Amino acid sequence: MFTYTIKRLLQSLIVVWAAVTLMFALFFIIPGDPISLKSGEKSLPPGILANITAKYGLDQPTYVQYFRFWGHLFKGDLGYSYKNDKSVNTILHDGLSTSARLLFWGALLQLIIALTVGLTSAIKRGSLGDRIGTIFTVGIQGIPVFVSGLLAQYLFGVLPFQMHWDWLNFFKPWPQSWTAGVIPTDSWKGIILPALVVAVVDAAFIARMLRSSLLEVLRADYIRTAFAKGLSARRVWFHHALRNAMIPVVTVYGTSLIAIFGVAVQTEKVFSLPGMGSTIADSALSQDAPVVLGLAIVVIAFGAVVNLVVDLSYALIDPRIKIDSKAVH
Amino acid sequence: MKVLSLGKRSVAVLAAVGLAVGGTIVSAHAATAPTYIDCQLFSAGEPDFIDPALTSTLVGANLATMLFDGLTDTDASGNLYGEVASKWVTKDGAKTWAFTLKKNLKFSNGEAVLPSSFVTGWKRAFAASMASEVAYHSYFIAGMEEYNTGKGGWPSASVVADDSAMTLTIKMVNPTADWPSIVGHSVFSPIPTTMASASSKVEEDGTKLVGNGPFMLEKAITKRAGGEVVIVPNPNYGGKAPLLSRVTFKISSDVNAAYNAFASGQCDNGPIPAGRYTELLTKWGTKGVKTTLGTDYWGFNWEDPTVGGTQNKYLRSAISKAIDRTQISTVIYQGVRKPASGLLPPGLPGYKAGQGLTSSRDLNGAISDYKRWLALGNKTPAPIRLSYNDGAGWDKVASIIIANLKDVGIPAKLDPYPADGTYFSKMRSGKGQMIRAGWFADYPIADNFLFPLLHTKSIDGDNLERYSSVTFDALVDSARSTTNKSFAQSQYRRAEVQALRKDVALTQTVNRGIATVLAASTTSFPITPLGMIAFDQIVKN
Repeated sequence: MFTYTIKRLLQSLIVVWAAVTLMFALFFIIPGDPISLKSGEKSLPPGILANITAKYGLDQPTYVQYFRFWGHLFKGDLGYSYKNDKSVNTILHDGLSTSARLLFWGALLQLIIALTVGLTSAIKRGSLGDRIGTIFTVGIQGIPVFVSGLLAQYLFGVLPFQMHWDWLNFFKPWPQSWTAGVIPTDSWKGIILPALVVAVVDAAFIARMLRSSLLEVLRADYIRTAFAKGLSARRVWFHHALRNAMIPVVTVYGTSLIAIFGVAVQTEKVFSLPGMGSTIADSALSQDAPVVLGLAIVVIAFGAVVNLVVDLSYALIDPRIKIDSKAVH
Repeated sequence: MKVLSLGKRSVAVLAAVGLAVGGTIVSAHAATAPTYIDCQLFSAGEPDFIDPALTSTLVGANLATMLFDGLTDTDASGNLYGEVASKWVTKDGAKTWAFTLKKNLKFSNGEAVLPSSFVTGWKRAFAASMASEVAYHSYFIAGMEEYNTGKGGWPSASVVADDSAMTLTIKMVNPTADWPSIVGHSVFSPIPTTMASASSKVEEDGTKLVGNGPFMLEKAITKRAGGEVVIVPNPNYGGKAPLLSRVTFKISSDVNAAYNAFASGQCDNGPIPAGRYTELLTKWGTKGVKTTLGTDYWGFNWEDPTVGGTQNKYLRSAISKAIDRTQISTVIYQGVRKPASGLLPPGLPGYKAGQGLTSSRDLNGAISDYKRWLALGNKTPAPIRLSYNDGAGWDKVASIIIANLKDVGIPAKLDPYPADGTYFSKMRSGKGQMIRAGWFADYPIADNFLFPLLHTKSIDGDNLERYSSVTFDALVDSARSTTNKSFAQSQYRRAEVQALRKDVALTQTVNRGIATVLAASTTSFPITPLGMIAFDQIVKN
């Protein structure tokens, strides 16, 4: 497994290099330039333009800029934003902590919701809980994040405030109630709504996947044997059925953890959370190449690591699966 | 049961890790005077800079003006007043200006504000290495363009500070009667000696951004990406102390989220989502509405064979008369942007209403002018292209104009350009026919509109129409070179009439405005004509 892990990590480095090189090239291919976007409606005198292009090295040939970018990167310097001269390292530091909080709580809530809904639906098949779960999962999947985000802001922020539902403000160390983190603060309360929005999008899909997978496992002969042996229902469900039903779910959950980054971009935008996702999106629109490239390296590396962890976790969940340096069996 | 135990442990471990990642819990702050939370909307999430030497955005400049006081400023009524300067005079026809500074003013670190503080600030702001986007405002000063472009040293003969006499003397390239207004721009702010060598990255550690304004930064702002900037009163401020004990700027890039933050009680003011002006201003009141010094217009490409040149004046006047500005104002802006009657906006010194060809729709006049143009041997043109940058809602304005022109029989069509920053450069190179444009004043003077937008010397710059008129140029040049204010204003008015009424080089649509919703607790919310919110004068109960 060690050799396999090293091999996959090396492959990941190549993926990161190729993706960043491609993005770097795209910044020179697509029309427009960051300086024109910066200046907006007003034209800048040639002397001002020359100062700005020289400052950011944009007056150098493309290949010089490319090698300079990697040269700085190897020294741990991701460069400076064209927009506000801010160090990309600082932006990364700030954005990463915000995104990490959002992704962590989003992913955790997602797992809790998915397991609860999926298990209830499978075990209590045909019950009211199953029906509500099915309606919830089907319904929630179709709602775009910018709608669910604004809806959450209204339901948990605007409505309680305007209706004077003061009982909701049982914990109020800040002018807004705990639910009113529409523009989140550094407080933990500010992450509740965004994390919930991130969680519900893929939670519905994972819950449905778990339900169908569990239903299939529950029909298997060894489950019937386990019941026949007199094992308790709880032990059969959680020890025998759930464990086997989790393999496809883990695959989906791993993919979802990468996809959650896409959801997080929209969530961060809707909630004005200055995380990596919204920063990349804003910077891409203003063609702020150093910020996009610097942050993208982390996102791509994150994706590669999650993929690797998912692959390795198969062996932990199912002992029948073995990993060696050549392949996953 | 084993599985459950493992699950519980896992959740506990995950929760512990989460708390570690999750950051701190904010404790309540004690404050005596009211605090204010401002929900600022900024399309890209946060201001470009709050360093006065660098900021080129309204939000950034608004913050900068709270942190730094310049020689002069404009109040909420549009009047010029001395901020650090107590008086100013010119003795040689606006070629040289001498400012006398108030005594005993200090920066927030206790250092005295002296004439040399301005020299220190300008040396930094206009250095080529700073690459400030707004450094060109200094080009009025003799030798400053050369300094800014690295072709010359610091023009010490043009900026002379006498700290003992508290005077600052400035020599201009040409006579500049409006210099006292121009020097009110935030780029001309003074800085203390501790900031003299501060680079453009000074905001990485905001404690080094030290100003002389009514407020100062509460803490370092390296974490500005955290979506907040907090300012508190400057204890060494020499002017009237702010009434608020703290202002927190929450930066949002989503107008709906920013409004929701306001509506949920998280902020004391907030922006209004498009299309909801009438509804929300009715609900929250109009104290936060102000007409600002900006005008939207459509220019005609002077070099285009169909709409340009003197030979096509009647077609242009037909188009201008056909446009229903009231419809644009009410349908698109729900009255917040008012129909404009000229290029210069109301509130600008020297403003006179009705300088444009028309401010209300004149359908009969439009049809009559179009017939006169056809009678000159012209044929019904191919659909006239209405060019605009996509993604900002200009298509709606263009669609109204196209429908207006259809009533006259003039064919027209949408001509969108991608929102990638290339629109204005393409228009500058003469690619448009009817060109969507707008202008917001840098300082409250007529010249700031007429020279960059219509003077021959501004072709390839902001004169997108590539309009050139000897008469117009002569009027503006004569206005620029006199210290006689009433004569200058008269010349600017004549120039405006020449370009808009006689030549119809462009047609104005609406004057810009700001509309914010305010919590009932905010009883006074002054906004200057330049769109700056005077946070130091906000009254909150």
